[in-house]
Amino acid sequence: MGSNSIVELQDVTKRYGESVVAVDAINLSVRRGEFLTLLGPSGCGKTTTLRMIAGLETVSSGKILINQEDVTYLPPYSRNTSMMFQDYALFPHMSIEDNIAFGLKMRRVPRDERLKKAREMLEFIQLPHIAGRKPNQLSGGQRQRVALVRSLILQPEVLLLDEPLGALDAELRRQMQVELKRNQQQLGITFIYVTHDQEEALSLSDRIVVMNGGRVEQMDTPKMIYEQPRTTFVASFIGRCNLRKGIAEAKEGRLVVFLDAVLGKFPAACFNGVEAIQPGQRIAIALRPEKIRIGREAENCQTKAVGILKYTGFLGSIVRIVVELAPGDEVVVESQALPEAQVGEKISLGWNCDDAIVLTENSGGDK
Amino acid sequence: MTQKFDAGKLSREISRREFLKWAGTGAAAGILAGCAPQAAATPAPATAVAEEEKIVNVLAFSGYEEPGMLDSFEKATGIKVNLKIHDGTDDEMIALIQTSPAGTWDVMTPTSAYVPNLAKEKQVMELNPADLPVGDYLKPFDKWPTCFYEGKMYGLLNRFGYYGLTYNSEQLTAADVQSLDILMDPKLKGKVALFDWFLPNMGVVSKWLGFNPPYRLSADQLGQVKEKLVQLRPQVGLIGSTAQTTQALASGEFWVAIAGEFVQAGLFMDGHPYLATVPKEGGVTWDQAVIVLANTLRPQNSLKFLNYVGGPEFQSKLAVARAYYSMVPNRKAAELLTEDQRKLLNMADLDNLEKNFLANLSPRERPENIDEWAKIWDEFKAM
Amino acid sequence: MASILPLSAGKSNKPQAGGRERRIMGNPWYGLIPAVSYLLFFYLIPVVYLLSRSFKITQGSGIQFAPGLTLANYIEFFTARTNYLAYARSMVISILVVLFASLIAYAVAYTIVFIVPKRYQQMTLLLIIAPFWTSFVIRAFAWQLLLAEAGPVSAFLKQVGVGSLKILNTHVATVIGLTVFGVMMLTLNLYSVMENINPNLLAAAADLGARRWQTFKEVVFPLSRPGLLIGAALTFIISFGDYVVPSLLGGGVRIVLSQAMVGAMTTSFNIPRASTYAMIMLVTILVVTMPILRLSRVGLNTE
Repeated sequence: MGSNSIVELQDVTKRYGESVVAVDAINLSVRRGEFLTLLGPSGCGKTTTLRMIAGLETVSSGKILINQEDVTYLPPYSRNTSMMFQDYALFPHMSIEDNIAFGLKMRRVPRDERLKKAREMLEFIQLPHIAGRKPNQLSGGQRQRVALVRSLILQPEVLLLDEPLGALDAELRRQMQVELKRNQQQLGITFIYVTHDQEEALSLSDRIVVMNGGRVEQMDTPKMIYEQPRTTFVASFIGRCNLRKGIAEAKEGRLVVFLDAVLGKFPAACFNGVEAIQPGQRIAIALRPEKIRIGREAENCQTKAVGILKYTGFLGSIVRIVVELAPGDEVVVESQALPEAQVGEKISLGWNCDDAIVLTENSGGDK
Repeated sequence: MTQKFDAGKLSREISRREFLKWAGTGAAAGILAGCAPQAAATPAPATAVAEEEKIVNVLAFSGYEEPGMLDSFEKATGIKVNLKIHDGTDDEMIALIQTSPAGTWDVMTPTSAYVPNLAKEKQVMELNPADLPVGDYLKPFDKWPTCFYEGKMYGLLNRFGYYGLTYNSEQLTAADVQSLDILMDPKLKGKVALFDWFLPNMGVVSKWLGFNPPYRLSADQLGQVKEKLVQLRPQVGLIGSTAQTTQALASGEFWVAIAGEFVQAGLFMDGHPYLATVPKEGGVTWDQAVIVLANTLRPQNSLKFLNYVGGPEFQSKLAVARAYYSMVPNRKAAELLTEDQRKLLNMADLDNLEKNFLANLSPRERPENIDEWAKIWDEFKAM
Repeated sequence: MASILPLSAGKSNKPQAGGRERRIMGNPWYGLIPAVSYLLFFYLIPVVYLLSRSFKITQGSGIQFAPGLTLANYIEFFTARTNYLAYARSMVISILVVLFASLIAYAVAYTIVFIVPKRYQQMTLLLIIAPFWTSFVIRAFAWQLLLAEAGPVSAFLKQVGVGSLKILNTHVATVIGLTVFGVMMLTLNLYSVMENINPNLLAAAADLGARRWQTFKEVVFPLSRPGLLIGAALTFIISFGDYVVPSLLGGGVRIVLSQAMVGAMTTSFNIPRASTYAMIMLVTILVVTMPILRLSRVGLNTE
């Protein structure tokens, strides 16, 4: 957390009234130039966090630093951040060029100059012909681009984006994701991006902050978040996952002997921050469906199990298989090839100990 | 015009009325709806020409509708009174009559000033004074000029009052109000309230100028009335409805109005120091007469009703109606009032009333050139 | 957008479906029949009736008219000084009412929408428009009592040293009475437009560097302007045409146009003259409010 960080949150809390805690003492450090995503289900506090950084929401306790400077109590216009809203919040009564030039107008830039700047921005997004239109005459994608350059015209160091693609249809959304990422890389601006779409988060971000119930569950690169989730919430929120509950029988280095009620004992791996497991503790492990092998491939795995094939679904690039280990206890497997076994027949499963990831139930302790 | 007995015409009228009743449309049907049960009880109108349906349809100004007013009439005669109270002006009342189908109304109570014109247009039935209690009436109401047309009687005076000066007796003395000239006194600037009704106000101004009768003026005389009004203008602070004027006087913000007992009595009873007088220049009356419409289907019922309305019992009740107090022309009614009521209504000493009070009053008439009068009043208000 | 407009899609892709399309396009007009007949019966016919009567003169007792058409009533109107006075009073009173009511209502609506906490908003609005529940006439009577020389307003003015002022039975009282009504009317209109302003627009303005008053000037005011203009137009219409308040509070001396119109009926029972006043009133209201209403659409064009 040195001078490398551009935005820092220290124990930032947001309370509404006495009982509602929207954001619960979170700590974040955003690196200069990175694409950081706040990811979580609705109501997890991600948008509130973003608005606190923008200065649009007061902070109940804690500190916000931008460029090492305490901005906790500064109004939005005194922070070098800019916000892009989910509904774009384009001013409906102003033309597109006036919308884009709004920030310059507030800084008392002369009209000619600011309109020239606005036109340059429209060139940048390749929409020079819409300068005179009103926001309701634009398509969703055009609005999104206009909102982006309206935020960029003041050359903020940090751009805050609140689900900016949420209002677009799937096809346009994919297109705009690529465009956003390219813009971010070209401009070298720090993006703090809020979304509830895990795929979007995984594909765009340099780092992801997974939030739940006002707390940070995990903050890591997309790869680490996916491959080494730390909590049950992260494991189940990001990608598909088989969760199994049991007891840590013994611990040796980063390996844990996991006692499963159905499968018996098998080794599982602890990753970052989950080392403090005590023998006898109740824990959960995550098994990614694509890490489980079936049939002959299972024979070489460190852990093996047998179940009954209940269902086979062909999804094109992969095959989804449901295997019953015991009545009411099923495992989902994603395989490259169709299983040799038929539905109703026995099938063997296998996985390596690094693919059984030990999780903790609660978050916290991420300092 | 005399109501001729014409069986053919009557049955035509009845069938039209019946038709309207069944058609159930328009204002007439709405009014008639109230008497439908009685009509159903006499199902054969063609044979009932001699015997009138036991109802009478009356369009009256307020007062008649109050509890106990008509009970003894209905009990004694068995005639049901279908009463509609009219809350507007005489003109509107007459317009309503003229736009209703014949036979909708039997009796109405306009200001007597309208009677000669209605008689001229043959819209009112002629009355025989011998059939009516005019023998008991105070002079000059037994032969009140506006109830007559070409020497024949068409209306029976029913109640009356006067426009003189109603004044705050704490601010003005009886000597002050001896003459209408007090209205021009500088201390009354903005303290004079007037009713928004041009005929009595302008009639009083006309008498102030010494014109008698006050409503038959030459163009030059009318011009003088206008001039006098213009002079009076700065003194006037309110031109309003009866309620507004009464409230303005009660509040103490206004001290004098061109008005008589109908405002003063109420104020006095509520404990406000108001007295009323007819100044030496005189005053004009307001009144209501009962008339029978020429196209009535029930002339006999209507005459019975007129007799009741002119009789002492009803007259005494009407004098102290809740709507407003008024003087009544039947001398015998005074006996049925309490001592206080008689005093309040100036009816304690009837001989004195006749000699000194009524003699100084002119009937409020409808001037020939009424449009000119109205225009002057509208201009006066807009000044 | 095109996907939810099957008609325009059909037009470009399937020209052969023209006949069917025509029927679909034609149908909505049938839906206008109730609205059009409502306007016809309740507005157009009475207006045409009034217009035609204003070119007549009375005969006899007042409900008959002389044959033929004449401009006499209009000539009479435009040649009498007192009519100009009444007209000018109506105009000045209405303009003052619109001005005062706009200023007050704007502050009230802004406070309700942007300052009062959300959960108290409905209640506050309800309290402000509660006087609407009673009749206009009853309220005018209540103001009579409040503004009387012995009333609380006078007492207050005396208390604060302004001295005894005559308010009731002057047009100061008329302006007060109509302003109270106009404030309610305008507050309702302004509340609904301000309530509809997307809060993110205010956040966006602040984020782009606008101070509070700049946000007001650049965003809140332009977006609430339609409500202000429509409310102002309605207030003008009511103030210019109202008879009750000037009669009950204004004192009946120095009458306004509506009183002159009623006077033409009650004093003279002259329907043509009253119709003439009504037509002049109608034309004035149209001339004043049409540009205001047109202006209210500027800046919100959806074409």
